[in-house]
Amino acid sequence: MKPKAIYKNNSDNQEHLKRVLGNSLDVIYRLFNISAFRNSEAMLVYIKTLIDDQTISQQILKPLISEMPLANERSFIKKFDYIAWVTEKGIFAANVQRLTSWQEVLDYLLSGNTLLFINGCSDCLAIYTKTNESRDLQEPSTESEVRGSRDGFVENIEKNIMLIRNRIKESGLRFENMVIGKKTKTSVVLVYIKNLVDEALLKEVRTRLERISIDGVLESAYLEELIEDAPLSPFKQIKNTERPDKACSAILEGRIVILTDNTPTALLVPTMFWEILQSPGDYYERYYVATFIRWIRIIALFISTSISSMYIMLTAYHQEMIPTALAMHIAAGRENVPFPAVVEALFMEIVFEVLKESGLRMPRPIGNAVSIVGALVIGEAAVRAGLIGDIMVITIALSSIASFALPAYGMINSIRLLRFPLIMLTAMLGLFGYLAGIMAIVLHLLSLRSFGVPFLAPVNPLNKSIMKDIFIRSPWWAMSTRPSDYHVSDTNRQSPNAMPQPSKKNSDLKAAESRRKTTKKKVGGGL
Amino acid sequence: MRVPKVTAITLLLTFLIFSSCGCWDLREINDIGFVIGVGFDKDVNSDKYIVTAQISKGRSGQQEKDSESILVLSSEGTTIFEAIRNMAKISSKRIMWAHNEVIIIGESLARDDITGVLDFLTHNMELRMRAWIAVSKGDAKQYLVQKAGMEGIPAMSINNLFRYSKINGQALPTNLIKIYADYLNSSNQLLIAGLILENNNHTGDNKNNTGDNTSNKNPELQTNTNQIQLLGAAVFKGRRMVGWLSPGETNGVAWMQNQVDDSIVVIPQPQTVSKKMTVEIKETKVDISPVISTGYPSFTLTVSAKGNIVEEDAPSDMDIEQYKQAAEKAAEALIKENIELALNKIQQEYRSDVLGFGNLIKIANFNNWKDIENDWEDIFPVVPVEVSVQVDILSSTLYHQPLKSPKKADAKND
Repeated sequence: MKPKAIYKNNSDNQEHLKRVLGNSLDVIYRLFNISAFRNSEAMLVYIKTLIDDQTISQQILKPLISEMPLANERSFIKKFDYIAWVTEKGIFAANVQRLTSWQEVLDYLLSGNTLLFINGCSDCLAIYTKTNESRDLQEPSTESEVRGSRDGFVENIEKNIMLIRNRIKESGLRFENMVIGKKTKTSVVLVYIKNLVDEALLKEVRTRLERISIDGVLESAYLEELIEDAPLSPFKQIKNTERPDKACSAILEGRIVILTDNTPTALLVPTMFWEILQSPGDYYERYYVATFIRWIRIIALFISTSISSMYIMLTAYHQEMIPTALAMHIAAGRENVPFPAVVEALFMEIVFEVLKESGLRMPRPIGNAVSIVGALVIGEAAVRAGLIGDIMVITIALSSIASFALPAYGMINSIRLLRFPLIMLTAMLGLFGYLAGIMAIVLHLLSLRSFGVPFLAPVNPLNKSIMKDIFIRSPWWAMSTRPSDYHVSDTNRQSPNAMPQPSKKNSDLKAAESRRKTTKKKVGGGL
Repeated sequence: MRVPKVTAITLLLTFLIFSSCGCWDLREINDIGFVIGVGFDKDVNSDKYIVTAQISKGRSGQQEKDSESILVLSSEGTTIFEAIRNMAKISSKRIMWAHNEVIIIGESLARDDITGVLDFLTHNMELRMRAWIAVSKGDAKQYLVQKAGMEGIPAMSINNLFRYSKINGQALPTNLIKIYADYLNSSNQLLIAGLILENNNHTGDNKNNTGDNTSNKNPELQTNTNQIQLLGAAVFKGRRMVGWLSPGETNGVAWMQNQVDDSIVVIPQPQTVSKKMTVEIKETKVDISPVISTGYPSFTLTVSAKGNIVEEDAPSDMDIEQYKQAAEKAAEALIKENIELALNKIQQEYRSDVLGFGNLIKIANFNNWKDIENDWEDIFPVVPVEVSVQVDILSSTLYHQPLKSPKKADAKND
């Protein structure tokens, strides 16, 4: 059915395209005459909603219809190659591509190109006229920082590429395009620095992406799940971000950033577990403060996974481990509670999840009312009604708040979920169950890898970079090498003696200082 | 299906194993009665143990303030464990011992045999070895039904008496692990803190002795109730108690055991006849070392302490250095007197090595100990102990000079 070659006659082409694309209202066939070819008939085909009107009228139609002198170059007269002439001399548009097969023609048309058919030519010209409209560059709401750039990735992939290009002006920076999705034909761009990235890693990422044969990619999460190392694991093994500075720091570490069209979320591969503790703000903050905050996050990680199971463990099995006064208080608070601690804990956890979920979907104006009902009415009233003990409310509140203290929202969500199996294990076996659960989680984490890098690196296998950016955030002048876990070809980030100090040789500074001293003395003497 | 069948079945089986055999040993915290203090007595006539337990009912901010926070249960049995199981007849909650703070042994039981009690306390896995242990004058039971202190739970108050025993210096903080270690030692004898229940009536007003504790509602009862006091010590020989040490003698023992930080020494003020002054002891060092020559061993006991003058009852115009020296001498004499009193009582009257002298010889010279081990009971009472005390008064807190009286008439009267 499908003709192999493009018809020479424009009306045949139009008919064919109409048959394939149907009567869509936004497919426009614009017929006109090219003055340069003695008014030979030509046709522009484009999809109105994808293109920029201005470009078509100013860059293509205007020169072709009005301004051209007659084409009479000798080469042209010999060959009558209209397309080549238009490309070379006819139009102003920058980005053009000569097409010969119908499959290409359709792909180009649907991704925002304008097609130029000229009567008598058996190929056509695709001119890139896609509109570059997108929403403004805003700071991503899930990853806001006190200090740091205020722009974020948007749905338009070209804007995203621009954001990275603006930050890294390196000739080795590569944007490698792949088209994924049989129906959506989404462009997926691998971003990396050529002479930094590990070739094996790059090959692996390419292979995994090429394996995908899904019909559509609507969000980068599709890709994430399709290229993960351990698809059955509860842990997310690929970090995502909407912050260009975060993405760029990954590129500079020799990692690969995967941008997906129509998605503001970039994927960073490979990813390590400890990135749930790291946020871009850490690197813009004084390093003592950043280190302190990192430890707060470690505590928050522990609290969010463990505190509700700890509560059950202590109140139902190991009451001797609670300080006496607290034990008596908990006992009194639970005096009228008819449920075992585990039911109490699960009830509150589920109530919180419901509140969180409803808060997320709620229209903004109603949000306040719900949080009042949720926090005050349910929390306070449930204690008064004797459904739960008062310490339980504190426990659940702590564990929920703690989980949001960690910067990587996506990765944290999966860890938050681990709380439920831990609660069940602890409820059945006490401290032993809790430890067995934690042990299983740790063993599982040890078995994970993300694109060839152990998930728990550099803690396991132990590496000296653990002292640089995991449990403490070293000052920038101390981080003279790139993390070695990604097998980068060039490990030097900066010169090894980067610690700043006042220059000893600057005679101007010294002169200024001594001048200050002498004036001070003189003033003092005068008084 | 990417999950292999074997994995699925294993997961299911694991879940079934946990859920069917799980929850073993589960006790919800509100089903438990926490024992905070326990007393052991022996009924001499029926030869039965009487166990009295002070159990917390649990308190919380929401309950009314006046509600009783404790329940005291008492039961009998031919063995201690039987008595405790008999308690289940009257207790509505499972009794848990892990939070027990205070163990009180009645005097009659202590004079009979302490082995059963010690064995029960150390045999039971729930009990903590850090619990305080005391011997009460009279039955232990009455100490547990007595209100005491400012805490809602009387046993907690007794617990705090032990914790702050050092600032008084007339009691010993003895806990279970120390007593148990002494019990297992071949030469050490037990020395357990004493509890006294006494009407602390300073006003002489005795019309209203209800035994009720004080409260803000009727503060006039404050000085008029029975008070539990941690005072003195019970000396054991073997498994039996042989007698009491007076508060002064206990102070001597406390000095020898270096348990007197923050305690005070009250001494006559230099240059006066009847006025007193107080020295607060801060840093103490005690060294007891055996001197082993051929034949019988002897001991040198060196005590050195630093202190501050915290109170003077009369003004003085002495030079500060002389004043301090005089005070140091008086304090040294008093401490030495207390130590010698205690040594005398322990060696001569009770003939019981509660200070662990035998153990010191064993550590210093095992061969020598082997020679005298069998006769130690006869040797201990006559072992000479050379006591030397050195007190160094650093300053008079805040004042550098003794208080002076600017009024001439006052000074003459002294």
